[in-house]
Amino acid sequence: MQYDPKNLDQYFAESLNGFRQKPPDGTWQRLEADLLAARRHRRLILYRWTAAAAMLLIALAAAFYFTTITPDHQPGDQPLSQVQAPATCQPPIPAAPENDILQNITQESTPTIPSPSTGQTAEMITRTTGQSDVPSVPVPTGEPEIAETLVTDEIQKEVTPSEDAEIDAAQPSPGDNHVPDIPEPEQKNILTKPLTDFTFQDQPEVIKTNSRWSIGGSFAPVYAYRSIRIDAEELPPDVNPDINYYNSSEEPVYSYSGGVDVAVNMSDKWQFRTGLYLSSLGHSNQEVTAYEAEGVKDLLKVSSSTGVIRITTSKLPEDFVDNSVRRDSITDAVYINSSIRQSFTYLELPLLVRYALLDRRFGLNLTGGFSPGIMTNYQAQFTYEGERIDLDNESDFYSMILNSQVGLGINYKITGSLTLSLDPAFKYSLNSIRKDHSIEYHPYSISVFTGIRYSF
Amino acid sequence: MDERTLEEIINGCKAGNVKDQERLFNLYSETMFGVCLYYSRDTSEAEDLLHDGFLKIFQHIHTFRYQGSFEGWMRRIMVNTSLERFRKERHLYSLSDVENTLEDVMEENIIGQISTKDLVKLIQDLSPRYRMVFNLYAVEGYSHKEISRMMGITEGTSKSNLARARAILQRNVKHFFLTDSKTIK
Repeated sequence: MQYDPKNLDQYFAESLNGFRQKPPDGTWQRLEADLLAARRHRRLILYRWTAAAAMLLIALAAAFYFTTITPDHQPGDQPLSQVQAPATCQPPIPAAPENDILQNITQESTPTIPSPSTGQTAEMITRTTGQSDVPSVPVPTGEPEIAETLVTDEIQKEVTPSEDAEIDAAQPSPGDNHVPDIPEPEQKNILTKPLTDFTFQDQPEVIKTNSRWSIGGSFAPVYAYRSIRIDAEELPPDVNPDINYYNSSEEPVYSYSGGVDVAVNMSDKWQFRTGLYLSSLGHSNQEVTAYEAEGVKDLLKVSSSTGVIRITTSKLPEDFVDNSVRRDSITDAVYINSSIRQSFTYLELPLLVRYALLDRRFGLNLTGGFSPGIMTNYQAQFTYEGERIDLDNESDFYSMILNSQVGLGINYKITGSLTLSLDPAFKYSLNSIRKDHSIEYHPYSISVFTGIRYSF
Repeated sequence: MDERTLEEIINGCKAGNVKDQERLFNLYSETMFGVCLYYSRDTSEAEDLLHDGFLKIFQHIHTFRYQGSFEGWMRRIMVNTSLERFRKERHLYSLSDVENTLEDVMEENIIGQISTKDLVKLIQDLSPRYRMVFNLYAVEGYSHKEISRMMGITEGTSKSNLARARAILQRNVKHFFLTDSKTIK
């Protein structure tokens, strides 16, 4: 075509029509690598969640191990508690032994001072320390320093006989009129025992009640998504949906779950729970690409793993259409710069069994069971400038859902009847919620329930 | 020669078949690279556009319903990809990219031919905004109203940019014919 400046547009358009050029070598290889990377990225997300769950389990298991297993002991290096009182929570030591001890104390600087076997020496130091707090006892100059030193020495368990003699020398003699205010033996043990000698048996015993029933309430932030599977046998012959499209254009959502329940203890370890919970599940569609419905004005359709979502453009705010909707006049595709959030709300009746791995003030438990529910609401919505725009879905959904549920929780008993709990839980729907089985849609969720429970 | 039909290849791509994706790329990469070239400033940028465009094609190929030309559908995606890139990077363009000084526009006809590659180079030498407006209007056939919405500018700006793009192109074509060398650097 001859160049004519008056027909510049036409000249360029016709000249460029059909223009082609070979792309540089390696373009396909780069593209192929990125296509594979995109697939790997989707898998990686799954692996990350699995790893996070595994780490959580390991952390909880480690916490369980270190809080229940006592430290290793060397032969002859028994914990103080075992030397003084083999059984925990023994009744207070009778007065008579105390008097004997005091008598021993008065036998200061004698060669009969017990050899520094750890238990006995530490016991004597303990009593010395206890007495130093009594203001009425005449205290030789420098005694507080001695007492502090002794406490430190006790922790190190390296007290020499001469030091013991020095300690005993600082004690008032029985001839004094003072009645030493010696703490109760058990109390002294707790106050002065080296930290490394603490065991679970040393902790104050949990107030155990004979409560068989309890009620509670809990609330959880929820990470919700779905797994989908295309059932080729259910598809019409000319339909070939791409599962990768749904997985790349849809994303998880954050929602909530909460409710109340009642529990009955079947034994010390086993508990059954049921209640009523409201849970919101779903996903969101990103990069919305819609198509005009054939023969229907102002109706757009979006393909989603839940089914076809209908958008009536005349119902959309004009601002939204002007700013977020762009129509391609050649391919008929409509690109919408917004995301569609789809939410399924269920009223659930959990039927759970809980097993106590650790039943103390801090408890650790495993939970498993089923959580059937009834769908109370479905919503597909755009959000534009804080306003929610409702959309329709052409699909039919089952009103019932059957979730399986597992969890590993911890709880803390504030009192004998009040308990705080933290229960991470994973729920997976055993049934597809779509009535049209061409795409199996199974919602799942990860929740971290925080709750309080009252036993009666 | 590959004996699979285009429809089979498209269906294979919908199923995520890598071999079919490569077949589709080999079928259309030259044509699409041609489009990318006059939407970009150089070969390197065109290659990036081609890469991003094909990624989108493979991600959205399930939405193609065999209504209209598949090549046209792919071309739209390439144009949209360059448009997205323009919107992302437009804050990076300096004012000097837009404010080109114009010489008197040549009014007389010039008898002659310019190779398509040279025409592409002339377009590539335009500033990003002028290039985008000119391509969308003159080559793709969009209206100023559509262009203003696609590029996030007013219709008046679109018209003004088109007029300037035309003037620059006319000047450069004139310069092309007046120089001895037919190669535009």
